[in-house]
Amino acid sequence: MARVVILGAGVSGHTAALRLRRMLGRRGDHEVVVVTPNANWNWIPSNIWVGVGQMPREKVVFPLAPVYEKTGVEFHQARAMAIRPEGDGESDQGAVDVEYTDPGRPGETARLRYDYLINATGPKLNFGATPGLGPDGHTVSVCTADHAIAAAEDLRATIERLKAGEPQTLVIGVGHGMCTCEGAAFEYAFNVEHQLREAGVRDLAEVVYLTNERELGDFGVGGMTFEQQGFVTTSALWTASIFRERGVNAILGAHVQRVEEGVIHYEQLDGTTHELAFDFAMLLPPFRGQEITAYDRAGEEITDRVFAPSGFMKVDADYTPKDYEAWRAEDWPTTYESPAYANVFAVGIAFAPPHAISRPAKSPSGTVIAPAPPRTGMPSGIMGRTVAATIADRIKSGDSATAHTASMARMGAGCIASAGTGMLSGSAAGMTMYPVVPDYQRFPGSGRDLRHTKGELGLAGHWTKVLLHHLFIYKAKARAMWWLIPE
Amino acid sequence: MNAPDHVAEPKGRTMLEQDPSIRHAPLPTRKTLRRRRNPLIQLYRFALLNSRMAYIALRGHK
Ligand SMILES: Cc1cc2nc3c(=O)[nH]c(=O)nc-3n(C[C@H](O)[C@H](O)[C@H](O)COP(=O)(O)OP(=O)(O)OC[C@H]3O[C@@H](n4cnc5c(N)ncnc54)[C@H](O)[C@@H]3O)c2cc1C
Repeated sequence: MARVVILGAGVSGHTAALRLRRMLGRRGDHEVVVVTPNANWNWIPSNIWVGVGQMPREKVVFPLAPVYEKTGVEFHQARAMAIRPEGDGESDQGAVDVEYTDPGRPGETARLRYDYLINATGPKLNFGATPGLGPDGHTVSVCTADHAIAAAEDLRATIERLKAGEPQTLVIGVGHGMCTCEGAAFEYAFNVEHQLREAGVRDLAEVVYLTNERELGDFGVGGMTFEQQGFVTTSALWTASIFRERGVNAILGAHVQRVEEGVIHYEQLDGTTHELAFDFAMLLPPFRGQEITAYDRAGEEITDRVFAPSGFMKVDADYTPKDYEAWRAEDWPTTYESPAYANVFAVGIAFAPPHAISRPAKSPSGTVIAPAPPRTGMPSGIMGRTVAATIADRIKSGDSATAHTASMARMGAGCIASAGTGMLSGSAAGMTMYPVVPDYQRFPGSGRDLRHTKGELGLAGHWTKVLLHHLFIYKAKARAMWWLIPE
Repeated sequence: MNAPDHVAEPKGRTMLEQDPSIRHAPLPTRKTLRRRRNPLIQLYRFALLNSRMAYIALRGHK
């Protein structure tokens, strides 16, 4: 009998758990265990709509326990604190130390043994990297459903002030020079802009997109090249056109140094520093890995062997520091196996990328101002499924079974960036790219296959976003034939 | 260059200068804006966009 422990039940961890349970058979001898601190699953992409008051919280979250009960997955509502890949004095079987967040087991801790471990713990929302950033400071966030509720409340108050005739400045973007997830900030900016128009108060509102991207449309993937109507064009031009059409301003190449009540202090790539007054600000935090430590059999700390300094777990990537020109598609991991322990894997945002995808940049004072690489929903889900397949094979055929592979440099992604809701008035930018990490050797020029790298704006994108919302929640609830829905 | 009247002119009190990349960006014509909202055209675009997404998802990681 084998026991697989999965840390985290987000896009990658939940996918891995459901797929693995199915691959191993519902009533097999093997155990699939999920450890995650939240009782609920959250479809994070739709938090954008919760954050503008267009969707209630209940539509984006649901309890995990009944799904795991139904599918035969053992569920621990707990937070992983430490991993012991070599075991401890009692056993040489790997183990995870957890602390329960289950209200029924306050303060309880446990050591859970595993044969295989998947780290799918996603990002730590590192608001602390920028003084004054985040819900405990002076800005709102949409990273969790509860954050989004608070953002919607703040936005409602801003709209009330606009209705009373008070001009307002709304700043939306990223709160640090090394943030990722610019696509989510873009979506929120345009959903807010849409709401202001719907409320009839657009005239008195200034909407500013504040970003660490050097140019619009970078989205942390170094931008995209498209072929459109006989021209080769770029996501930079395409995105700037949306900003112009909708009257949204942008501050590019910016690192937020600190936020005070109503004022953002930021530095730009040219080294200049500025202040920006605001009435409403939604700034995403930078991400880092969760605070999980690692110990060897003797109890000595080995965190730096297992995790990168960013807190993300090292996997089968090439982490040798290289200049941008020397970056290669092959640097990216394919199996997500820890180089230190072959039965430990990290997927989704939890794995340490070898380097950024966007071109690196620093201000004259040395501040890094460039997007970190995104690991969006589709790649995260594919990684979860791939590692599940590797583990299932090894359980069935032995540890020599070859690992399944899924490199971000060999994988495409579809991304729908909402720009406003409404079945007839909504719009979204629908983008597909192949591969996510450009491969300049295979696709000289843009690094991507232009037949599969496309972008378009319109109502169709909004309908697709709504469709994905329903499909992925259906799948995450493990309803009938869920497994037919691809990642 | 003034924006045509179907485009939202930025208004504001921060006196931020509009980023040149935005100032010089191409603007969609009224016809393009109508196409982006026309349910019939968009139904066709929806089918196309979803088939591209499905292709990417099913092709997975070749
Ligand atoms: C506002 C917003 C909008 C987005 N929109 C899109 C979009 O439109 N399309 C798209 O493709 N992507 C989007 N993304 C990105 C997408 O949400 C991520 O790609 C995806 O969630 C990553 O999956 P993951 O499994 O790595 O992490 P997560 O989904 O964040 O899951 C991490 C899990 O680990 C758990 N966890 C944390 N700490 C521990 C611990 N110590 N022990 C055990 N468990 C732990 C968490 O509770 C959670 O369950 C968006 C992101 C944001 C923030």
